[in-house]
Amino acid sequence: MFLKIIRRSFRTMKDSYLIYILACSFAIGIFSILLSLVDNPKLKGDISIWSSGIANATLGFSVIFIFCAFVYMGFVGGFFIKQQAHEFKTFEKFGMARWTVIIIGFIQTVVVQLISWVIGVLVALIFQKFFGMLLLYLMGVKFGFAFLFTSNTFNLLLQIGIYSTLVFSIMNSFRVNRLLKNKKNRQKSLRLYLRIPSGILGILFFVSGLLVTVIFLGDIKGSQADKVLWELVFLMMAYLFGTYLIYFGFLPSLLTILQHIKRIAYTGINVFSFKYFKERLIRNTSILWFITELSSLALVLLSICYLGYQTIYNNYDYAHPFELTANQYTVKDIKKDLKENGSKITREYKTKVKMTVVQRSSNDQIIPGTFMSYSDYKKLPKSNISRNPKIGKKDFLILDYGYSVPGYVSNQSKEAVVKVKNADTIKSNKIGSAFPYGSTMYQGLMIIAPDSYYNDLDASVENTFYGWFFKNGDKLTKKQYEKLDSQEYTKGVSIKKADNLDETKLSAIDGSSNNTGTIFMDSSYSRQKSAKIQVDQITGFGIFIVALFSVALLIALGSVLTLRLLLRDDSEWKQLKTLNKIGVNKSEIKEIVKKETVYTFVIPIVFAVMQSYIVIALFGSFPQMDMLVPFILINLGYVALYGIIGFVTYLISWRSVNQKLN
Amino acid sequence: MQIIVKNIAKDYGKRFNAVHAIKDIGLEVKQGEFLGIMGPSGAGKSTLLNIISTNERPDHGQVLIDGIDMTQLHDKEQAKYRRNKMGFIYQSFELLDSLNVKENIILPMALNHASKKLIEQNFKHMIKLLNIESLSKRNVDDLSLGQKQIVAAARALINNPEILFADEPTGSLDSKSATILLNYMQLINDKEKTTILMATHDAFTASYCSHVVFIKDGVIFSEIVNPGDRNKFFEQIINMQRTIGGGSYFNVSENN
Ligand SMILES: Nc1ncnc2c1ncn2[C@@H]1O[C@H](COP(=O)(O)OP(=O)(O)OP(=O)(O)O)[C@@H](O)[C@H]1O
Ligand SMILES: [Mg+2]
Repeated sequence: MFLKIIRRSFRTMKDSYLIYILACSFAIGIFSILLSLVDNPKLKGDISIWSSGIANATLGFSVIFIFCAFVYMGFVGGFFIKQQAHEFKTFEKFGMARWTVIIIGFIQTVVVQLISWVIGVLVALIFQKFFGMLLLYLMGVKFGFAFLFTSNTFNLLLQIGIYSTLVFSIMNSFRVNRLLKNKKNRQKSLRLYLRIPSGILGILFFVSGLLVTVIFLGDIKGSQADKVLWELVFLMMAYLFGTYLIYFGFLPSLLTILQHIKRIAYTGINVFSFKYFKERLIRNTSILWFITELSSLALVLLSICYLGYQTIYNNYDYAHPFELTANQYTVKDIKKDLKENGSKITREYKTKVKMTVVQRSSNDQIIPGTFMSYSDYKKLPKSNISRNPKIGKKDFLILDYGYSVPGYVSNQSKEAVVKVKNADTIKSNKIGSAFPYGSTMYQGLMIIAPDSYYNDLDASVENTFYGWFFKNGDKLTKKQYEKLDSQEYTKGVSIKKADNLDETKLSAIDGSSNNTGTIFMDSSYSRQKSAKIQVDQITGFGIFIVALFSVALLIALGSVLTLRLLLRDDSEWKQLKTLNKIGVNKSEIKEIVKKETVYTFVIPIVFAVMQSYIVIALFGSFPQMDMLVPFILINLGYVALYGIIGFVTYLISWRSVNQKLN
Repeated sequence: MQIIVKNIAKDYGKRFNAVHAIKDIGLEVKQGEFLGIMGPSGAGKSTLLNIISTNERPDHGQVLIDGIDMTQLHDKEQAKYRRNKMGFIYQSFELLDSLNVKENIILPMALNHASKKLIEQNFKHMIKLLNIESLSKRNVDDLSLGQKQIVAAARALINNPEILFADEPTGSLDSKSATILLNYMQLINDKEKTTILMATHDAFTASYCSHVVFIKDGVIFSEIVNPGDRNKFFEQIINMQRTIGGGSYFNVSENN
């Protein structure tokens, strides 16, 4: 008897169950794969940054992932119970004990959840190798990926699976119980006295959210950390509640008002469609809300990921404008090594620089200043200096590392003033941060000065920088690289402060000698390749995770909305049929289905995009990176994908309606 | 509005357990005629009405309305025809439960984009006539069966259709409401020359018709014309029902 009822319910809702189980097992599969990657000893051994950070990041992502999946399951799992409300009530009317009906709901959920877990883990077992290889490929690591599923991972999965199944099944039992207690079969009533105020409140919340975003933008630029935090909390609350209240109160009230304007409501199909949309809206409020918040979260996260990537890439680019650089201390060794290896040099650069003491006026710091003459600067490759402002013969260009550090910018005036020991104070509005030989090669400021100024400057320390480009890489062996590595940060300068700048002394130091004063060490060489590997690995990992999350999100969103539109209950079906019977033609019904789909998809995305605008404020603190265009592109891309899901849903939905009409 | 039905047939279901709802029926209904269709349950009355009203397509045969073969029209044109010229009282009412009584009744007019003034005017007229003024704001879900039926009738009649299809229009009504409705139907049949096709089990209801056909097992069994005297016609109908062995008194026919 039990089994028969359960089997029957699976049969009647098989399409919807199929969509749900596939979505769940996908999520479980991905989670299992991520979890098993964390534990993989080969990755730990062979990729240095794996154990130092990526393993933890993977674990973190897998936790976020399964958390989202659980929210999805808890939420969508309830659809099926709701769908069977009529049947469950009939069972009870026929005299079945309430707990029997509850147990039916419980068993159904257990079965579905267990099937999802089994398929999910199977998916993980089958595709682990594929995903592992994909990850390694994206990270640019060239060694094979071996299949491995430790018993540790397996046990963890088993436990999570069993506990979550129990939790969801109990949750659904409660749902059944609540359903049966609710004797009245009425749909949620309108309760305008509740909806109008809450709608207004929702609009207020949302608008204040938009306003606070603007204020937020100002505060984050002014780095007012405590204020920023409060504003962020407020924003989240305002958006979360505001959107819900708008869906709960404002939109139904609006439709009610439209419905009472007889001139609009009494023309054509509107008599029906306003009420129909309202009913569907009221029923789907929490789903629309869920989708909205999820979408804006996705937009924010995608933008932040892109920003992270940009930051890493920028740093890398600023640090390594040449494939290999050296200064006068390392050049001999490097040249010898290059000759030995037969590296093919395509271009070679060499620039003399003078170092002295300078004082940055914005914060009165006394630091080393490295000077390069205008004509030397002009000889450097265009690509290395193109990010700096253009300068003429007579201009000073001030390069400051801190310029790209957040928080520094706000108190940076448009004009930088730098006092120089025993020379004229420099004032210039040309400020950049692309150091011609890479930012790690010096400390303090670098100043490109007109030739005459440069020639007159007396240097405390002189140095020469070298930079190379190669054909087919620099060919340094691991041993040579290690030797170079040991020389890093062994040479530099020290500053002995005096009462005034002119007496302050700068001198070259060797790592071994004991020094007094402030010490500034240089990296003495920089090699693109070693950094490139790390950047590639991090980027590859990022792409892997972002791609996984995006696909998962699409599946989740798509299945929620599609299920929601597909699961029309009997009365909704009957109404569409009745319309057809009294002379509403199919194209008009198609129009209703189309409008319904469009509203269901457009409303959440509009609110989501508005909320995600908060990201622009967050980016306000990175002014040198133009995030507006990427942000718009990310939004457009998201909207486009989402639109495709919407279109497919519309096709499926219309197909099912059309079938029922015939 | 002249309706000619030629040799229609309709099966339901798949090959092995097919139901021959209509085997072979031919009919002619003249403009302004009030035709009754009687027969035991499952005889195919509703199916016949559905086919004539283009809600369903026959497997064979033709339905000519004013010389146009309705079975050859596209869905869209059929829907237009239904909307513009026909009114329906369905056996199962087919009211929209999300709408209230008023909205249900005015729906056909709204669909035709009638002016708001005309809608209100016709609506007032209709509810007054059928004595349902008190229901106008009610939710359709809460109505009694009889109330639903009368609302369905109001919806069918508000547009002054040229053809009215009524499937058991009085089945759930008390005798007073039934009389009101039937009188009104007779009135529009007389005054506006509305063609009416009505399926019913009830001999009293059928006695309002000008002409009754009896169907059984998907074919026309016999036909009676109103001699002009309603009591006499009523007697004839009762007798015919006895002969068929179905109808309202012997509703359980042997093959159902
Ligand atoms: N949609 C359908 N699918 C399958 N069979 C159908 C369908 N509609 C009607 N039938 C069958 O066709 C036959 C005729 O049905 P119909 O509804 O026309 O009878 P009826 O004369 O209107 O009966 P009643 O007096 O009970 O209204 C019946 O045997 C019925 O079971
Ligand atoms: Mg019938």
